[in-house]
Amino acid sequence: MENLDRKQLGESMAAAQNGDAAAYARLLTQLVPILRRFVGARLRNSDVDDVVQDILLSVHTARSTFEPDRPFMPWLITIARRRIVDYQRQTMRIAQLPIDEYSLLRGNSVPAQVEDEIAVAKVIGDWLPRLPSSQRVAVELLKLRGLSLKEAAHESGLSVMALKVATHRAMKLLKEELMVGSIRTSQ
Amino acid sequence: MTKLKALIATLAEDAVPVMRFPAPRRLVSLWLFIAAAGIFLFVAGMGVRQDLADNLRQARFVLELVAALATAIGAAWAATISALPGRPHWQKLIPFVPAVVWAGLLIHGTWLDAVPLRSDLICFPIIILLGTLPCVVLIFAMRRGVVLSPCLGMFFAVSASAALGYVGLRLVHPENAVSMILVWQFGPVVLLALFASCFGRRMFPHKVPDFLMRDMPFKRSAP
Repeated sequence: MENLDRKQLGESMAAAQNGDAAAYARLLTQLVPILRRFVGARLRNSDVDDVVQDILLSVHTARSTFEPDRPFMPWLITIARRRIVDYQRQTMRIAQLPIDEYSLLRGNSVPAQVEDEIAVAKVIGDWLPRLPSSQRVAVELLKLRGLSLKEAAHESGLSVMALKVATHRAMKLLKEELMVGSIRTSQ
Repeated sequence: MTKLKALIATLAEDAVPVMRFPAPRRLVSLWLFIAAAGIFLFVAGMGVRQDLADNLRQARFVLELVAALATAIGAAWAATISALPGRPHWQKLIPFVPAVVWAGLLIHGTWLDAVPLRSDLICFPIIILLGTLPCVVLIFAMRRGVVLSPCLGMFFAVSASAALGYVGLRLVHPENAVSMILVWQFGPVVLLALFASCFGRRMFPHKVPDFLMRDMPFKRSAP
């Protein structure tokens, strides 16, 4: 970050506001290592890239609020700080929910009516190996083998909280996967 | 890194020109103009209080109105910059300076004149009536930005509007007992602002555009 010309970052964002896609792509690419360091210094887990991703999405939605006559870094850091706080709150909330409830969080439940069970099985079969290892382990132990949280934690070496978070994320991904599948089928 | 690259590519594809959020000074001026027009129409319709000319000769009355107006403008400024990330935090303290003067004048006045309290419920709906238009305008403008502290943003927006409502109320409602003003006119401004701040998250939700979630070539694992 120190080596980057901060003024140039602001200029790139001003260009992005005017629709310059190349300048915008360059800017976002330059921001990734900055944000990784910033987030990594504040979160101790392996979710740094997920939070960086959230920050980039927020930067995108907030780009109309950047004022070219003001410095770029305070604008970026304010957004990044807020997304880190949001992430921490969300993680805490998920960790406090009982296992049966968090997997059925509003809007995160798997669609109830899936007509083609074979297609669903195929989706799950394709989907499971692509998961990050912690999520795959959590799903296999808790959902496929039906172990309790304590048993799964004992077997995997992961904490109960980590298992809850990993399962929640995996279920969310599965939902997306099934939704995409059902859209393709209906087309 | 691959999914971040995919994300960057998708975001860059969507880099259409955007309309910049208006400069706070311009936005607050426009807001004040619209709000003042609304209050002027109301005051013109209701008619000013009969003792207004006498009251305007009293420094205390004028100072109180100026402090309330300055609080309204300061709070509108703070609300506007709440929608702009990266603005220094001290700018959000601006409305508290005139607000302290305003509250101080009323508390000191209550201390001096010991008038017993009675009911004056008409003040509350008038403040709401006068504050609604400015509040809607301000929230509409703020929603174009990114309100990262929604509760605080909502607090400022409603404070600004209710303080303007207070100014309008003081021009039409013939109440001079300071304790009554403190409880039935200043009190609702504070209560409304605090109550409305509870709805900040609903009014300024954090949203990721749907098309990003649907069409992305990458998969998110964040909650």
